[in-house]
Amino acid sequence: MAARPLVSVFSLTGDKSGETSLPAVMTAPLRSDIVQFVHTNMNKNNRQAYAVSLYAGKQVSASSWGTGRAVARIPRVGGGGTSRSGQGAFGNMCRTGRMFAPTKTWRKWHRKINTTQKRYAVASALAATAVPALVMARGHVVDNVPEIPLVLDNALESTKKTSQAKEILAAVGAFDDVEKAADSKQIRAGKGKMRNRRYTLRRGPLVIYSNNDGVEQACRNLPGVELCCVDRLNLLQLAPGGHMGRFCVWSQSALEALDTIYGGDGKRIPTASMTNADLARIINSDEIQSVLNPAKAGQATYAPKANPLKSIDALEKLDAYAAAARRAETKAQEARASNKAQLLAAKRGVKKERKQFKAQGKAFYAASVKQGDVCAEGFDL
Amino acid sequence: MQHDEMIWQVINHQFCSYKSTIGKAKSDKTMFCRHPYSVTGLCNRTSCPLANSKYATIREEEGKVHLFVKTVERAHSPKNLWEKILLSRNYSKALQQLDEHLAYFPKALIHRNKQRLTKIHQYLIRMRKIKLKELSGRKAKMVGIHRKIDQREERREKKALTAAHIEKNIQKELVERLARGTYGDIYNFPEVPYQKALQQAEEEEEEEEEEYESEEEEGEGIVEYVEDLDEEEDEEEDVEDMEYMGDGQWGSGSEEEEGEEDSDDDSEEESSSEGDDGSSEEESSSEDEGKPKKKKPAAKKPKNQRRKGTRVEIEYEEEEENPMEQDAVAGTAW
Repeated sequence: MAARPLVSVFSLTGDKSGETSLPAVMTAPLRSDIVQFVHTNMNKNNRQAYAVSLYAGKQVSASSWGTGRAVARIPRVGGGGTSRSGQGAFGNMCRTGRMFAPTKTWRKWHRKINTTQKRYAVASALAATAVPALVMARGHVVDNVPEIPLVLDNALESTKKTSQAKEILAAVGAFDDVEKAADSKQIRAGKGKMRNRRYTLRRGPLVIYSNNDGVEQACRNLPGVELCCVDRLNLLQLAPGGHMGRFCVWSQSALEALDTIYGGDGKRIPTASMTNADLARIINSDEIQSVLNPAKAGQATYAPKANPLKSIDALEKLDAYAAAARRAETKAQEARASNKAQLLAAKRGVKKERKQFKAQGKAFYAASVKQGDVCAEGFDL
Repeated sequence: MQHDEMIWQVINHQFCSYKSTIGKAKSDKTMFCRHPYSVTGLCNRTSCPLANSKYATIREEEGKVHLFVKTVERAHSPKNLWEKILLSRNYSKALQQLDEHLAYFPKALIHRNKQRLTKIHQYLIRMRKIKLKELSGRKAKMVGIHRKIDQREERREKKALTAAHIEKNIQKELVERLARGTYGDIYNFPEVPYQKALQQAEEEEEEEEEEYESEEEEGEGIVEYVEDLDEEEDEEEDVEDMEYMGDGQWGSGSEEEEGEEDSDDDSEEESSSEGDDGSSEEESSSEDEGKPKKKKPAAKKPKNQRRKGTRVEIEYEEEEENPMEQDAVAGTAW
């Protein structure tokens, strides 16, 4: 990577006023696993110890009554004259007894992390701040920012007034993120609110400078805005919550200082195990495809076996005569079936004829029974 | 390209603020993408607007359909990331425009964009139909129900109703009007509130009466005559000279106002007291006509001012009066 991409530098009014090259750290591999690991451990390093009192639950002189008294064998408070006497003591199950495994101050509160790991994590986090997609995915509102990484003129470091800082951020499109943080102020859910952690707030932009000429005081009162000097970049600020991609606003000298901090004589920039990690593209590239063996024909796929007891075609392959017989039988059945319909129709027709015949006979008899000559006027059949 | 893959790895496995899921079990979990520029709404490798540097979407704003295109060249600049192209309102022309602008894009992406365009056109047609029906009056306008808001408003209405104390205020207003006299002379009052109101008025009157001489003509007052003990005989007074000084106290009136016009006053007072039988006070006052008399104490005299004469405390039985009578009495009194 001889020529690295150029990054525009913006003036305090939002116009492009120059260019620098992207520091080499920004091309470090994005190792979210390392960042997460280092973050969870680093987060534990500013804890304060808590524990129950050493003597909690133990300041009783109680002893067990032993067996034979029809009570449980838990140590009981001696003496008399008070409702406390005879009550169970000492156990974690007893009222006002000592808790199970009383918490101790000598619990391991802090974690040691290898320096190289810490540096790796910071390098990764820095690289992530240069990827707009990751910054957006982390949740920052950067739709109006002209470029990421956002580099401002060195005059940023000498802003004295918060109102001026606000104008600068607005001119550069970074104020939306600040507004988002301001809107998100809520009273904390839970007991933290009565333990001096009353409000929760989203994180806004991180302003990174190389020497403080007033920026700290100017920007620190804006909600969500944090400040950091390049010399002491903090992973807890670069990847809050263990998630890479904080929105950072750099001053030009800060960005250029990165090249001295990480580089030849400074801290080592981690190298990726793969320079080009797009596996799909590599495999489909000409260089590889041209050297591959021709594709194999592949195995013949077999049709699933047909059961000769069920399928007549499968039966035919095994026993032609049986198959033919069955076919003839089925045909005959069909013929008979159609025949049946005709037979039925014929029978019904016969029945009808007989009925008619009978009716005629009756009519003739009725006519003949009447007084008068039979067939005097003729009789029609 | 290398970036895309990396970005997707991070987003998919770590964290993406646009990812949301439905379904708790791992088997039927569907991942959705809430990114406003996503073509499909699903979260997967090919439809992630963040993880694909060559991407296109269709979005509709107020009936206008735009094609948004994103390319690698502008990936570093979020402000200029999306190129916005207005599509024709004609469906087939819009399809041609799509083909033209997305010429060298992956076929799958073009296809998805066309599907999205179709859907958009379909729902726009539906919206127009509904609007026309609504305007012609054949179909009612559909409005969403906001249960939360409706319930909240209902609760507040109830509270406002009870807080208004409507009946009380109406009563107050009516009584005021009555007092002002807008109703002329109505005497058909409902019994209970009338009595209540009158009791209040009575209490006020009683306080005033204590300053006036009382005309209470309830029953016979029992008068006790007590011997003087240590008084000078000069100063002895007849019981008949006693005058009522309020508070059930009898004594002589103040000396200062010994005057000649007492008789007139006396007669006035006599006439004021009405037909009670043999109240000796009245008799005494009448007998006093001739005598030089001390003037009766004025109505507004402080009660504790009394003469060095005999102090006689006389108790009265007080009965409750008929308010109507009392009014009538008051009318004829002075």
